[in-house]
Amino acid sequence: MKFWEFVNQMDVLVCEDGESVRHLTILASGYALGVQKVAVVPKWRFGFLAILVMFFSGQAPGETANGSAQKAETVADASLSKHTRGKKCVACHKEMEGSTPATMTHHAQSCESCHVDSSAGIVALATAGETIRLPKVAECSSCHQKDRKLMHWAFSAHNKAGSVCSDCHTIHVSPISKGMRLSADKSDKNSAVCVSCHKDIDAQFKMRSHHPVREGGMSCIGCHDPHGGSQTVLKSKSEQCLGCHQSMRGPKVFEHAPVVDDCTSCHAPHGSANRGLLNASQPSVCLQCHSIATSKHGYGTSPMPPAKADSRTVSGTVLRGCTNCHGAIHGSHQDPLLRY
Amino acid sequence: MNPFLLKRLSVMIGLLFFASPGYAQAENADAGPESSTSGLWRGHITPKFGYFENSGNPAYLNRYNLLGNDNSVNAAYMNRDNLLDFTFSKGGTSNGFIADLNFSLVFNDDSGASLFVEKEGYGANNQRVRLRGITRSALFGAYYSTFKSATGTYDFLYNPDMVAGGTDPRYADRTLNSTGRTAFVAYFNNDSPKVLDYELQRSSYGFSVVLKPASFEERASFEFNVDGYNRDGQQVSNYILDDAFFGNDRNAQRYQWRGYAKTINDRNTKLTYQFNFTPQDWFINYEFSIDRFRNNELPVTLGTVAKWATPTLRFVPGVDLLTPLGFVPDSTQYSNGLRVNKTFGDSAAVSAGVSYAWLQQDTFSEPQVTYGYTDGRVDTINGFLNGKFNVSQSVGLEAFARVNRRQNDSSYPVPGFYEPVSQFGNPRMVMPRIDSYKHLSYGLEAKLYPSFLKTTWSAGWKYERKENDLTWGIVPALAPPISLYGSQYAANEVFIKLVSRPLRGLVLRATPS
Repeated sequence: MKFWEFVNQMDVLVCEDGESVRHLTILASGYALGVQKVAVVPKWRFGFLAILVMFFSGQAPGETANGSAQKAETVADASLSKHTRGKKCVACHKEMEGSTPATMTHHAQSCESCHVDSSAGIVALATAGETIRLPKVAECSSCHQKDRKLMHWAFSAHNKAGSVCSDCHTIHVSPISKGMRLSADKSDKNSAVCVSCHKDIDAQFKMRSHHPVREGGMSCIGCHDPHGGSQTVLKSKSEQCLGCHQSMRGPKVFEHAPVVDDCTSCHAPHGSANRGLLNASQPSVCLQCHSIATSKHGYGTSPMPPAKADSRTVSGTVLRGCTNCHGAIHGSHQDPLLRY
Repeated sequence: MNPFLLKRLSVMIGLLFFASPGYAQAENADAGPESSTSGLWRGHITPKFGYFENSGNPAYLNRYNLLGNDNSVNAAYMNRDNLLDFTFSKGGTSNGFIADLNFSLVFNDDSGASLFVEKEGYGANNQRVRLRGITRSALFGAYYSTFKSATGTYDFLYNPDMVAGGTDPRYADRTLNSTGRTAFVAYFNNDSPKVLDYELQRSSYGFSVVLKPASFEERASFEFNVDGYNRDGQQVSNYILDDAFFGNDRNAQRYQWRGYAKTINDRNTKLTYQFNFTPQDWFINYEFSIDRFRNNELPVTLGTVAKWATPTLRFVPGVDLLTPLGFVPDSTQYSNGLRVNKTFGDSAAVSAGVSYAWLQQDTFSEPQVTYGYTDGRVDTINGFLNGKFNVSQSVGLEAFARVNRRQNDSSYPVPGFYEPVSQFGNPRMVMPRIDSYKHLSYGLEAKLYPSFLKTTWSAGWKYERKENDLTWGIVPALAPPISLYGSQYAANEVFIKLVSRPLRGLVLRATPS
């Protein structure tokens, strides 16, 4: 098959009942790297292909493959069940018929309820020169706008970044074929989707000390709300961590200020080269605030340590792990020096 | 070979044996797809089969076996694979097979109802199961997951007496110690020899029901959730005891610095109730939750330590042998949250929220009760206010403000136990009491979304201020300047961000600030 024949064939598809629909955007399926057969593509980017298609097919916009004008959706079409209307599409899109369990409730919806503006059918859009495409956020939210998870979508970082629902959610098939992703063979599906874009975070999870996301012990959405923003969270930074690490939440009698303030003062939550997810290894991470050694951590030549810190010699103890002795570093109920 | 590389290699070798996903589907035999009562079961099965090889990698094999009989150290880093713990390879062998099965089943009918069951896992210690059902007026779900991981190491590599030259010899013997200080850092006593399994298993579970009564015409829903987790296992715990407990008896000093296998037995249960009301373009959400934490393990006390060291160790009279080490109390947190969102078509949105929560201590240690520390309570108030205005499809303006306030309402002062001035010549309060903590941030941000390669440009300004109301102990040597942690902090930040995603999997970021 020659290229132009291929293009021509892809241009106009004839359904079982003789209706035709324009699938120009199928040409752009490579943009989505196989995630969907039909992709959202700005018209200008593939406009030249559309012109080529028109030229080689000998058709003017609005004409069908058999040369007749596109007819409007009939009453009989409208009376068909959702299932039946979807079948018309599935007759060609056979891969959708045998879709995976991720179909969920969308299985009962008709194709055009998502893939075209709900106010017009496929045929009507084809007549108007429109194309069938993936649903935009507005079309998803026409059903999901009352979902609590989408309450703060307007302020979501994903929304601000121009992401649409289909970037993460694939309606017909499982978003990630995990069997083909060796690096994500243990992680949950949600995390596998997240790291497909957030490669820098994925790299942090590969450090020696990390939260067990890649291993499936927890999920990205355990801490992050993908549909909301960091400014719409009703918890402080430490409170978000203490939801899982409750043995550290106290209330403590002797508190360590950074624990109250922000856990990330000392810890890198995604991963670190240092033990315990520390931003810096011990004792450096401690000495960022506790820069002066006390009498137990330095010594001089007299029986008692010199009063001035700069006269003391730093002992080997200081240069090791502070938590070897200060084991209750996150706060203590008994000891003001956080030793037990 | 580098153990770490070997480990990676072993994992990859295992994954080469990864089986391809299977697929199965069965349609309801009694009703065809065109029937009004038709239903469809679909299934997805993924068998897993792996092989791991770790020969010659003692660090990997002995990730739990941290101490030999002679207290020699096996360098064991955090390892979460648990490949050795299940299936065909018991007993810590260096290689073995892994077999598991993932599956998901879903049932749909034309009414829109569906039932979804999914199981994922990778061995006996890494399993997840989800169940979800949807009808037009209700949604329910349940989940269970379990995961076992190593709990890290003894940190022995960095303990002074385990590293050549790590301990200053002048700490070893008080008579030779020119500092005149204690010698306990020269010794580290392991109270839990031959404990091989320093591991924790966390099992999480939950159940949720969402009701959408027809009388509210899909404008309201009620949601009830039960979530919880169990943590069981052992974790290394270090402590060092105060000189005052022993009257500076140098014979006791070698028992002051110790480590032991702390048994973990945590239980958490969280009940959450939510009400959602969505008239027109409004979205109102109220949430109330009760979050209970229970530590079912009895704490190690000074009395336990005395038993470990018998007959050498003697505490001075007056020391409460019921003083716990690493005490973790039971606690309950009650939370209220109200969030409101209003959209103005696609052009603007306003969002606000406020929450009030209080965390209370339910159990107290013996010394706390003795001295009258009987009220452990922390109150928190959080809030935010956001506004967004879309000038056009590709230009947006946003303003935000956020506040977090934490108030310590625990017993204070408690003479002899928790006070700004020492009563016994021994510092009873060194770490500052954090009476309150306040965090305020607000800012503006303008965003530009050119329809080109999924690119976002943004420029903005953010102001952030933190205030700590601290009460410091009056101990001259330990006055506030010892810490660079300030009671006040403020910052202005101006930033420009460029994020572009030209291809899936490729993200370009430039974020000077």
